Amino acid sequence: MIRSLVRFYDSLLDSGKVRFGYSHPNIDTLISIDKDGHIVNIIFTGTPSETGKGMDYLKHEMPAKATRGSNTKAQFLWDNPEYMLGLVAVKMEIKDETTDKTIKVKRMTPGKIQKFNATKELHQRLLRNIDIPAAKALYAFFDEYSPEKAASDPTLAENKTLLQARHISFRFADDGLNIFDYPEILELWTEEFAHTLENGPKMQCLVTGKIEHIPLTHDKMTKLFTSKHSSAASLGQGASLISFDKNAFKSYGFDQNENAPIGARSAFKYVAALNYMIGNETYHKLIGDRLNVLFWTSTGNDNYQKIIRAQIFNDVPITPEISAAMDRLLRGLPVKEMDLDPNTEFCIAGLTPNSGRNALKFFLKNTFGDFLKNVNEHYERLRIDTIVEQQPYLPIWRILRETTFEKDPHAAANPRLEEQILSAVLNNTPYPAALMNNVSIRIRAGSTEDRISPSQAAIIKAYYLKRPKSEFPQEILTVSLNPNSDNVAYNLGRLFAVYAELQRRAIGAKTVAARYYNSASNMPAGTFPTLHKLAQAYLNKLENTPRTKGGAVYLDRLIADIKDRLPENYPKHLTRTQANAFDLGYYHQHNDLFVKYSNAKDAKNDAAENGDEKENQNG
Amino acid sequence: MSFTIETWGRFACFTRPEFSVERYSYEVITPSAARSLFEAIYWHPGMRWVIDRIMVCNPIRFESITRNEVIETMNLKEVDKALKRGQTPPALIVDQKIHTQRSNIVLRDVRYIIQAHIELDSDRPKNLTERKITEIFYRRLLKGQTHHSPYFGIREYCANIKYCSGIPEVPKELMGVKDLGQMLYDRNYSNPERPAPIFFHAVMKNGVIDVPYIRIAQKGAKA
Repeated sequence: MIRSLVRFYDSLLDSGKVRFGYSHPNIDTLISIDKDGHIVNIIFTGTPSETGKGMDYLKHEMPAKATRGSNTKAQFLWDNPEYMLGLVAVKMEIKDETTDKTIKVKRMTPGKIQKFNATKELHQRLLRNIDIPAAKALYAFFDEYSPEKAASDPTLAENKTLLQARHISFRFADDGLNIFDYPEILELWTEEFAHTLENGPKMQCLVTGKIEHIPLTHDKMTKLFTSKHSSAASLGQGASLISFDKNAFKSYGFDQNENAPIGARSAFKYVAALNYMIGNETYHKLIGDRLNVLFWTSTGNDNYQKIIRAQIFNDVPITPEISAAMDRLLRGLPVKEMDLDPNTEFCIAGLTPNSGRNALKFFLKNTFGDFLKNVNEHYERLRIDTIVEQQPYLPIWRILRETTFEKDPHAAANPRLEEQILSAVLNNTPYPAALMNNVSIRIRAGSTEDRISPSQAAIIKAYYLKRPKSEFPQEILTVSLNPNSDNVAYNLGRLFAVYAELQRRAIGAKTVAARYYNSASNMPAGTFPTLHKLAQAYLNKLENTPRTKGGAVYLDRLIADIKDRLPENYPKHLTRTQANAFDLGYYHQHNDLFVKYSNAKDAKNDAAENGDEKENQNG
Repeated sequence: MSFTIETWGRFACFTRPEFSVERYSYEVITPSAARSLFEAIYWHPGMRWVIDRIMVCNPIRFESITRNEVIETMNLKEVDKALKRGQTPPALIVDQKIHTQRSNIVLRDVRYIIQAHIELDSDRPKNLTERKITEIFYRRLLKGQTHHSPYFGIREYCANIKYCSGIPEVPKELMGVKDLGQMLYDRNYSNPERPAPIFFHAVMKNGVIDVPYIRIAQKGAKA
């Protein structure tokens, strides 16, 4: 995976979207200085975000964040208050002179001086020979400024913007430009960064295979999203992907990232690639409450992303253009208009934030065409007959919804289940058993009025198509009702559906379905005799009413046909799998009856409107 | 003289060094793990196994497992102290505070055919000949004798080994050329205190990986 990330970053470099050694942090505070380096103003850059979540800050290409642990390392042109100004915001209690009480205030006080000194040294060294006013101003600032003086100056020490500042940079007051808007200054970093790569022991890099300098720690990633924190404008500290902090993780006496030797250049690239993607909608999606899915190709073309998003995540509308493109790609053909080639390598990674370290949940690498094919086959498996107007695709979130109590709007599905289902879909492997277990429980609990919703039936069908069981043969895993099967459980389900329909037509109630479903699907031998008697009563009622006689005849014949296919003695007990076959049979028949009934009703209404009085066969 | 074994198992985890905390396996067996299988059957100081070729017989399937593991290692100083005092040294780590959940991404249902050859050190005992080793090896293989339980990368994932009686057909999914990137070849034990990992560029052609010959010091054998 590291290799794929490095290749992705290289493609970004090639297309000029990034620069090696630079990143795009959020700057929330600007210190405005005049040509002599005096502080003129302190500016807060935050504006309320368009998405309504949090704030948007100034984002610009800047020198990359320094890899810091407990060591001191300066950054160029932007940093936190302790490094940039030698000050930290501290809560303290002071005595108010007027009221003589102790009050709590927050003030900037001097922090670790070596951090500021490192920043000062770096900036002065790089800016020394640059002959533009802004550079000279910044140089002068570092000459003149001292943390102690600033701490004793109330305009600075109690400045509200400064107290909450996280990332500080500078603006040149004389022309209103930011210090990083000057290319001559920004480019100074390129050479300096190359020097920083020459640190660390030399070992064979596991990405390139060459002997390179191995940094002992890697940069931290931008914070991964969770359902509580999903703002792209993050100021917080993220976590590492690769780090070895506890003793049990180290081997053979190697310390820290010597355990995973990655060359300095590759180390920077893979983290930069990850950070480029996190927060960028084209590459990043949050699934459930913490699974961050990143998807990329090694080319720079992001049309691939659009198509995958449309297909799997359903959050990009499927335009005719996209639909046509998917058709071609599924047939293995390239799409010139969008520059798509089904053989392009496509990578999908799932990461979750964990305590202190981000965990890689899965990493899939396949050709783009294969991914599309797998997802398409998944949707094919889910296809099922239904009255309800259905989206062309049953989305994954909908599938997960079927595993939770539907009356609770905040019920969250098991996140591990989400990862497993996504993996199964993308890899074309069997769905997790937990999926079927959960849906079964929901069905038994009687969530929907009709006992089984189309989504649930679709899930049953898709699940068993991928996990063949002899008790649930292919012949009944069909989109529509299969009237010719002899599968016992399936036909029992069908029979039950007819009985439920009889009751509905006879007395308008649905209590048979409500009360007897579970026992019928678990212990048919004990339940069906009762159901036969009930059914007979309803049938008699329908037959004695002229209006419903025709329909009753039809149902009677249907019952006879199904009973013909059933053995003399019904099974005493159905296994889980057989119960699912029962469920599918019930759904198919129920749906079929509903279709016929509403069609007939429409026809009858039409006929009545046209003044026709032909008797309907199907009631 | 080439030695061939067929080996299979339900689970395998050849941990990538960069993902050894939240373990993520390589797609195929590493030469290092393959070597340990041969060594399990027979090994003697003065000889070394060198892996030549790995053939993958089953499609590559990953599965994710989460386990509870400890995050501390045995404190050797404590053990020493206890021994010196004549007490029983602490043998188990049972403290709840140092347990954590680690996710492992492992391989499912693996099957490999591995070819290797023997090299003898110059300072080996005089009566250790290749012929002798060959006979001992095959005798032990056919009887199922091993020095220790053979395993696939992690001790819990037991490996079954048998005499290879034929090479099966390559499954469809493994046809073609697959670039597996840099893979761990083995560790270089020339400095036993710090055995550095050595990588090689692994390419799988129709399920076969030809392992390059890299001469390194093995544990117990000099370079």
